[in-house]
Amino acid sequence: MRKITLAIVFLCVVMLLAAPVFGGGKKEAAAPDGPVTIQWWTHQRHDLSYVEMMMEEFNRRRDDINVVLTSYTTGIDEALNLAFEAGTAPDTVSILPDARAYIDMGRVLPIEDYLPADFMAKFQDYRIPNVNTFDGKFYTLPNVGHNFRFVYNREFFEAAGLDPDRPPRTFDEVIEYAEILTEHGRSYSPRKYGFMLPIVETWIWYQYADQIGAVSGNWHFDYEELEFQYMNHKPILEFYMTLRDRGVVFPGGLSLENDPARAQFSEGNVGMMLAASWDIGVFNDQFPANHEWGVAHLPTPDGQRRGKGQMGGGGSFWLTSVAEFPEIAAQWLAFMVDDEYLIGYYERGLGLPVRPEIAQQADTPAAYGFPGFADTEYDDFYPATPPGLELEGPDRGVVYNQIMAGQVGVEEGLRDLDRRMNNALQEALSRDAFDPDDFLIPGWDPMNPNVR
Amino acid sequence: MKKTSLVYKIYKHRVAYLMLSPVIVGFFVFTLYPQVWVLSLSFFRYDGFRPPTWHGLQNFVRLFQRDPLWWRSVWNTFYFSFGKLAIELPLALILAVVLNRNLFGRNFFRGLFFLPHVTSTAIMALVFYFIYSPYQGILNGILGSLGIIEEPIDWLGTGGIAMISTMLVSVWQNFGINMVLFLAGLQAIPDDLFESAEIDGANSAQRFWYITIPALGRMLQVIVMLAIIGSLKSFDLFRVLTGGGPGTDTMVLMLYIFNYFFDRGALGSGATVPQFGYASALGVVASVIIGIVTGAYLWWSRRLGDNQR
Repeated sequence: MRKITLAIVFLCVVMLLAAPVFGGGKKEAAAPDGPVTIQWWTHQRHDLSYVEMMMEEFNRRRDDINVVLTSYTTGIDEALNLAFEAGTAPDTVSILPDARAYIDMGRVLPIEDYLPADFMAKFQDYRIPNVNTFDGKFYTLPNVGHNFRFVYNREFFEAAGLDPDRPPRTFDEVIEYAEILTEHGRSYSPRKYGFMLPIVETWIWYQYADQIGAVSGNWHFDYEELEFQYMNHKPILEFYMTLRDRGVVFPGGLSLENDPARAQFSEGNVGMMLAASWDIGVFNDQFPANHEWGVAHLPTPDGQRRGKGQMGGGGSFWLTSVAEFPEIAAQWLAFMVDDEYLIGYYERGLGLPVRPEIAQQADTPAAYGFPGFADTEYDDFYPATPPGLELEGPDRGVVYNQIMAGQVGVEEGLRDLDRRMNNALQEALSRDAFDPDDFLIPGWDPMNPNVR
Repeated sequence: MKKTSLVYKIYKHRVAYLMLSPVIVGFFVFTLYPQVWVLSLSFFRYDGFRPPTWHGLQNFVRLFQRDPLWWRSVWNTFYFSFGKLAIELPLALILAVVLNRNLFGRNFFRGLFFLPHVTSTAIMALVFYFIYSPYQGILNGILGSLGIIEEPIDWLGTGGIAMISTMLVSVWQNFGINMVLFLAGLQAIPDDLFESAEIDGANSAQRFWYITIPALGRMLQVIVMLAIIGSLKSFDLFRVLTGGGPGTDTMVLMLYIFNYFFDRGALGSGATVPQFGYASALGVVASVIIGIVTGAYLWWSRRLGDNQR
């Protein structure tokens, strides 16, 4: 009995010791002493050499500020959260794992409070609620976005008897072209295939399903009813299943990551795939393509465009409440969204500026493939969907992979996913995880998705 | 001070306790404290950002009533563990018996077979990723050149085959360490036993079955127990090699828990959040499952231990 009592007392002591883990961090102020050091954490790699160059230029111009960069290739979400818990978070950061949560916890500051009104004026037309503005205030400033296109191997097209200036526009055409390319690919060693579908990393469905869903008017969220509608992706998944069943997909898609997939495209071993604007740098520098490649708009079920392409990004660079001198830290962020910085960014083909005047002032980017992405007439930012959902069961990516692996039927899988996502949405709503009025958009039109 | 009191005992053996203290402190800080923390967290709703809120037994109710994929992961884990151990342990024992003889080059083979165990799982998984690759992969290349297959097989992307492919990698990685442990046990068996049996007319199979196996006794019991626990806790191999796929065909306990801790849902939507509380409840139940299996095995195999008493 004594041993049991001792064990219970001991466990209670350990649990009490564990309790402080649930506590939050604490901000302390200090007096300025010489040049102010601004910590800058970034998760982006494709633009790192440019960012470093411009940071050195900024430090050279400003004697009173010294920006110090820390680059994370992976794990910035966890590192940032831990840093906040430990009180060692940076002054400025390129990404937040959950913006709404960080704002609610007072971990980030509304940047518009720390920059002059005339500077802020140029961003007013580009506010996207719950992306760069929260509760009506800019927390992050619009800088660049990314978009999505269909890329194809022009030389392989020509060799297979297809017109490289006439890429496929419909699902049926993609299937037909993939069959022709795969058949012709048998004459090569190693063999070449028609279409690339690398889905082991489930985020890739953001590129392969959401984007085709956007341009074909099959968006997966209903802003009028506040409901997820992944069932809208049924024709897209059936399209990929047809490609799979016809044996025209590059082998091993279910176990292939995006990097080796892009490397195979660059090596000329596959004819067609979907790509994001960040892949321009990948196909030019990371895995330089050994062939001419073309860029086309994304295919749709019938070739008709029923929605704008989704631009990703649209906000970045957050000012944290850890910053001792937020007015000074905000100047570094302002520098990175101002014209000079973004013109250089655009001219190097690193991203697509949100403000059109940047592209108008800049020279045409020399990067191969960039023009195909640069025309953003049919792209726009999409409204955010409600955050903070605690989904029960497999997420969208896993469900789509289950469908592709034949473990569950398309309708059954999508219906169950919609049910669980909408249950999670209602549950989040019941605990006030978000304000429904922030996300309701009566009469939302996918051809004009960005309702500012 | 009473000579039987705890304080007196600690005082009396203070030097021993002092020398043990680094390990004891390490145990409290790095083993017990996280375990209690996880146990506490399993009763909370916690996304890693907002303060945790009390959730009672809801995480456990959900786990038992509304999470079929969790139980699928439990099944996958058992299938993987017992499937691969059925190959791995007999292979290790047979090799240990063979290499326990006075053969030429036995030390070379002992080292060679042990080598996979000291190789990083992540690196090894990457190498096997290329071996299994359906495009220019070595395995498909060999089978194709022998005329056994016409079209490449997606060893890691085909339902049913992916788990077996992963089992074989795990067998390759672990049979060496089990062989070394069996060797240690075999070398502790007195030669007299084998010599007596030989005089009595026992053949090789009879000597193996009636002397080697019983004489390994507790050693055999411990090796099998460690192998079961290690297999049920498998994670890194699946993380690198299959990611739980295709679909959820190779989703195992630890990978499933990991996904709830760190998965952030679809890029761009940012809709779903990590569920540390639920993941902790999964972790607690996984520990209980592993504990029950281990306990059941020890009870079932208690006669092995009795042989050495």
